[in-house]
Amino acid sequence: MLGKLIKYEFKATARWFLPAFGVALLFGLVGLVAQVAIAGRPDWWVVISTVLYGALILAFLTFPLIMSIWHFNHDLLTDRGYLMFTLPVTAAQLLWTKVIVATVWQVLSVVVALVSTSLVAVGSDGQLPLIWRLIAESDPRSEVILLVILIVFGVFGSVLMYFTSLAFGQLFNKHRIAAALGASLVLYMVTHIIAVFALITSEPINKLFTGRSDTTFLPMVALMILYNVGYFLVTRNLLTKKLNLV
Amino acid sequence: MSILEVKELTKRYTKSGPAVLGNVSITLEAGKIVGLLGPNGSGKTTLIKIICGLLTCSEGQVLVEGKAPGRETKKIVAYLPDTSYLSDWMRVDQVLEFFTDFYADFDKARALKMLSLLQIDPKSRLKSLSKGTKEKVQLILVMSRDAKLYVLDEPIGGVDPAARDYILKTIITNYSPDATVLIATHLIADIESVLDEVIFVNQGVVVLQDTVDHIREERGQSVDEMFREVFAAC
Repeated sequence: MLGKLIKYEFKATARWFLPAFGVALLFGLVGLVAQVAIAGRPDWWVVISTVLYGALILAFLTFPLIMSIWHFNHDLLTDRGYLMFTLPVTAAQLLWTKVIVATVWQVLSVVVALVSTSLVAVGSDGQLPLIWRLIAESDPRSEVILLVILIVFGVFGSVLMYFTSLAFGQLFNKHRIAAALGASLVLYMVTHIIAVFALITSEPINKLFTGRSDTTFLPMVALMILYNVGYFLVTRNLLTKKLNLV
Repeated sequence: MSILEVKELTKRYTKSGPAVLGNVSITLEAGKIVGLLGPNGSGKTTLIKIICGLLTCSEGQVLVEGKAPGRETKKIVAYLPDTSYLSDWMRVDQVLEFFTDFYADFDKARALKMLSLLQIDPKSRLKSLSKGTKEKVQLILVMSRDAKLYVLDEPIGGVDPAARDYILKTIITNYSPDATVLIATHLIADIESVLDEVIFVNQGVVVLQDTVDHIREERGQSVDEMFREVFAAC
């Protein structure tokens, strides 16, 4: 059933994400052509086009998270929830579906944004951005994989945090979105205070377990896993034992 | 075994707030069409949502074929809400695929036949359909399942009299004899002819559960007359 849920979730969300990816790549191509066209023009041409393009890419990168949050609320916690929560599936399966698909779209949007900005960079100075060279030159068994793991867990956790907030919000009979916003603020502050504390204390802990003090990677991944498991269990329990589709 | 048992169920939306449902106990046997009747705001929809697992109760217990609402009960309960729950961007045939994928008891051929009778094109997008046609599509989806318990919330509430006749006919002709149909409505006169039993709910309390035959024979009243009498006194 999880596979079927994921299939329909991709179908439902691809309607927004594929056109958005197309637009981001198109703007990358336009940027490439524009950079060649404005070569030798006054600096303010370059500044304006760079600012406009930067704003577009920023909007593009925030779009998947916003749409995923909106879709979670719309699909599970409004009238659509009458269908989704009467399917013979568990709340955990519904939650896995939302988190997996949201994470995939967010990671893909980062890749698309990188390709789009690379096109503009090639148009500007004929060279790929530094990040591609760093990726190409790094040891694939260490930095790149670690970076990907960090990004995936980070995206997973941020998506789950907002889903947990919405699950809290649905406990209220009125002003659910306001309650969810309040919950997300509290969760954001608490998780970041703990993260800062972990960063400060991770060096001696890391040294204790690995004998090295030059990396905070392992404690941070452990913390992310802990957050993700916690958010998932809380959200699943709220949607199972406290579902309130008024 | 009873298909549905509701035991001393109470529902409050806030801990200290009033009970929307107060100590409700009902039992439904298989093979009956039961009317859950009451005025607007009497708690019918809340009770139905608890039966379907969309709301949790404050006290008491709901058992569908002996099990608390969950994945197993959702396999045998077909629920029709009083609002549209389908995605507007989908085509009717895509929704049929969706139901085929998730419900093992969904009969696609039966659904296509009913769509054809109502001249609804399976290729049409839901957003292009009128509100009444969308309601018919939802009813077709629900009644095309071979469920053990059909829970229909106001199935005739928003449609014209001609459509009401079609909907009632669809319900009667498509549920299997060993299944139970629970229909919540306040439009008693339209639905009376198909009911075997009635449950009257007022202000969250069950005020009467009886068979339609008993009401007619012993009390010499139609259900509609009985309803007006009971609720005029409340």
